[in-house]
Amino acid sequence: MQPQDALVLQDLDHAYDRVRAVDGVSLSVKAGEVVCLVGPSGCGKSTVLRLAAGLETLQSGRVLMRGEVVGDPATRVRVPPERRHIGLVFQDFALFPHLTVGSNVAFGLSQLPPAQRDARVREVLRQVDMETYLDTYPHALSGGQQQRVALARALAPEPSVLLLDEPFSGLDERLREQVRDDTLRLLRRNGTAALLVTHDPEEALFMADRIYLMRAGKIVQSGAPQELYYRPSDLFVASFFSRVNEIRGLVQGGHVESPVGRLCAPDQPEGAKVVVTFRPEAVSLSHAHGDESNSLNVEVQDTHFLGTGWVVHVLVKDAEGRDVKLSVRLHGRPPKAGERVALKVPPEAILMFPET
Amino acid sequence: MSLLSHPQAATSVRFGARHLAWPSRWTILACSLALLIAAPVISVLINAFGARSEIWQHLVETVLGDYVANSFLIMSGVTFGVLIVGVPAAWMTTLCRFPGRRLFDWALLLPMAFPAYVIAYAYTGLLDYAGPVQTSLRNLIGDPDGLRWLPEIRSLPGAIVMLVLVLYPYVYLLARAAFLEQSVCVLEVSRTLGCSPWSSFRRVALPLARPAIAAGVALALMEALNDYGTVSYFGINTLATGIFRVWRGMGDPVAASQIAAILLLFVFALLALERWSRGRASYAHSTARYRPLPRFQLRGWASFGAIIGCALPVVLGFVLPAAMLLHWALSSPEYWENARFLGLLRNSFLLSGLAALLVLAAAILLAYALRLHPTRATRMAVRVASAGYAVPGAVLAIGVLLPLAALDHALASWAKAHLGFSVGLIFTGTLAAVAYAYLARFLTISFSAVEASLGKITLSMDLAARSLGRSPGQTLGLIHLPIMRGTLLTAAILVFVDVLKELPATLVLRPFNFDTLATRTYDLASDERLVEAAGPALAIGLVGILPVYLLSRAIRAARPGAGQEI
Repeated sequence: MQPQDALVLQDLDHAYDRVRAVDGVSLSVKAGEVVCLVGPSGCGKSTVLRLAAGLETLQSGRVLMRGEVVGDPATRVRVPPERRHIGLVFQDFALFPHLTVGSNVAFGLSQLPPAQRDARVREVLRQVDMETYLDTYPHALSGGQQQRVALARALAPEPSVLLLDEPFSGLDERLREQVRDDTLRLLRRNGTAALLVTHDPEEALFMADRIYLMRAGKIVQSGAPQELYYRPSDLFVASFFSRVNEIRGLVQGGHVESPVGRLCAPDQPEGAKVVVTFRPEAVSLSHAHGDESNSLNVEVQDTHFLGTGWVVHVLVKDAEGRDVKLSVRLHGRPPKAGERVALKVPPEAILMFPET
Repeated sequence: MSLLSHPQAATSVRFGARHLAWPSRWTILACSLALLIAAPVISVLINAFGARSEIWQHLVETVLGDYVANSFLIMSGVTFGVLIVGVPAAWMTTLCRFPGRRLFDWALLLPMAFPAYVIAYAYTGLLDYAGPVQTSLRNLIGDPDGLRWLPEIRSLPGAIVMLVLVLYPYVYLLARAAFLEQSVCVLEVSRTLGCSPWSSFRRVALPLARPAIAAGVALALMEALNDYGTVSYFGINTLATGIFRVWRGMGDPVAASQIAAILLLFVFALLALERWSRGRASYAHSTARYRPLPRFQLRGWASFGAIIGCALPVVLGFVLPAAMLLHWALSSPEYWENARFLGLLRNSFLLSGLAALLVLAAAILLAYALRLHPTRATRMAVRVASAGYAVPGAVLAIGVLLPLAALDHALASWAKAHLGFSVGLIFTGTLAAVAYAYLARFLTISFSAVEASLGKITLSMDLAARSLGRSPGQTLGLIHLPIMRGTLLTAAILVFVDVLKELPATLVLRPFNFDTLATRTYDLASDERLVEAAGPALAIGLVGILPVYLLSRAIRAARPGAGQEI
């Protein structure tokens, strides 16, 4: 544990009625760092956040904030949430409906003398560009504005760490990108440490300095976004962040025969069943010029326009002769359905995992 | 701005870690409150089964059969009556169209304004031998000594009619809600399958609404068992009057407790019926799709019948008794234009206001404890505490008085022995004792309101406030209470009015010479000074209109898509 760590969770276990929701989770958020806890719904990520905030009674493990133990059932330490100096931002924003925007933001500043409090409220509202709404009630605000006020309210007392629980999923798609961008800028400018829980992989990639990926109560992999994207530790991680093409194969003589070529499999045991994967955007298609080594002559099944590019589906056969449909992302004009093309995947884009 | 520059952060490097206090204060408070509320019933049961009564055998051989039989007859009669009045009225106002329907929609609730004993006094004055009705009838036939064969209002059937007239709104309300919630689609399907409007009511709507109607009947019967004023004025011996007769008249609290225990048996059966039907009611709700109700247009005789069927309960249950009381009051203003009457008003408002605040505070405590820690202990506490509405006032009266008297005696003899002087009775006959009984009886009303309203506030609110440095108690005061203030006011008004109307517990537990509108009305009526009773009785009715107004507003807002009538 580093002294500058804003939040450290050590080996948390949590069960609801004997169902394990969190299983040996450890993570840390350094000062000024934005960390995303991401995973499919029901994986226990929100429980981790609640444990960190002290909203849920810790059953086993330790929670430290800036080096202080704030939760440890072994020594019966349980600092209540109101004394942990955390900021919380929720999916439903949870603005107090009976208080104005200004009073909402001032809510956590009761320790400050009135003059300082007002100054701080204005300062934070200015940061989120909501200064003119000081006397407005929450119901008169749009979703994006409410989110900004919620953020301002959480940031006003300068929490040691900001905990955000799906903070953008209450917003519609177009607004979401803008608000995400603004939020990130604000966190960076204030140097606020933040733990953000989301089910949206794209959001995690966009926001995070580091990502923890959870599945079924456990952390599967953690690291920088690129690390998880390009060097996933297993098939689940690989397919979580974007769609991957999967082809089943068998290790024979240190190699796997696959439609995309004969692949080296140095780490896999002889005779193991493996899944060969690569992302749709790693594939390139070119007009078939007869025989080309390392490329495969395939027929285009169908094409779909997505606006930002095209998805092309092609059929190949795996080592056992079964049909496998591959997705290819293209930016330029796609070939027509029924056309024969040469398909190529660069070896460095190919990942191999044991079949589960 | 760096994290460390914050003034709070600098002083709080040590968080002052608090050790686990478990179970929480809120849970302990909630459980203690539940225990306090259950105490009267427990004390009745302990008295009933723990001691031997001298006269019990005698009671069994003489009057007990009468008590049980009369209570049973009243329950049967009230069941029949509230069904006959309440269900058709609900059906007609929700699913038919006829002149005056919108008026009856809420006017049918008006009889709730009067307690049964008040309209009993009005009808007695109206219908007994010397009353205006019989006198004019005798004048009409020109026989000053005739019409002896007319039925006596002060009788068991008379009491049943009085109770039905003020209690049918329970059935009307719940049946109405059930009819409104029914999917129109289900009704329409039954019509396309060949049912006439009448047979689709009989074969589809009524069976679907049956659980709700049963719950309404159970509530009405609990009130019927609670009634003391009507039956004692009419001179009918029921279990409720029997408790007082044996306790006060024969001076045997043990036998009285035993009668109370029998009454509780009836009540528990009703409580079970109500819980069971409420559980079933949720299954009967078949779809979530709502459409404006296609009301069935009534014409000719059917329309006339509907108007009569809806108008009669309103006229008999409210208009006529109110007019009678008003006539008396206006004819002799000297009885209420005086300081004594003002004193009654002050006492009633003071007592009801205090009780409303106390009950509301308890309800908030209980509901908030449940929200903070929905543990088994808290849930249990809530269940126990919210069963009190079913316990008749007479049972509560003895259940509160016996332990308080015992406590007082113990304190007095301890004081005499150790302090050397007499302290007298400390709890018995104080406002605290009355308030205690009210708390036990009326907590449920305000608890349900507070709980429902609290449930509508998202938990994120709590978490947001907690993370911004507020304790659970501060969060309650700064967030929940302000958000709920409308509901809190409504809940307080409901309790206020119920306390104002309450008779048996007030009668027994009030401080010496402390009169309220209800007790004064009862005393005057018992002395056959009906005209004098009119002032306070009317005051009770006027205040009683408040919840009717609130209810009618609530039911109008309750239906999704309301106001889109065809």
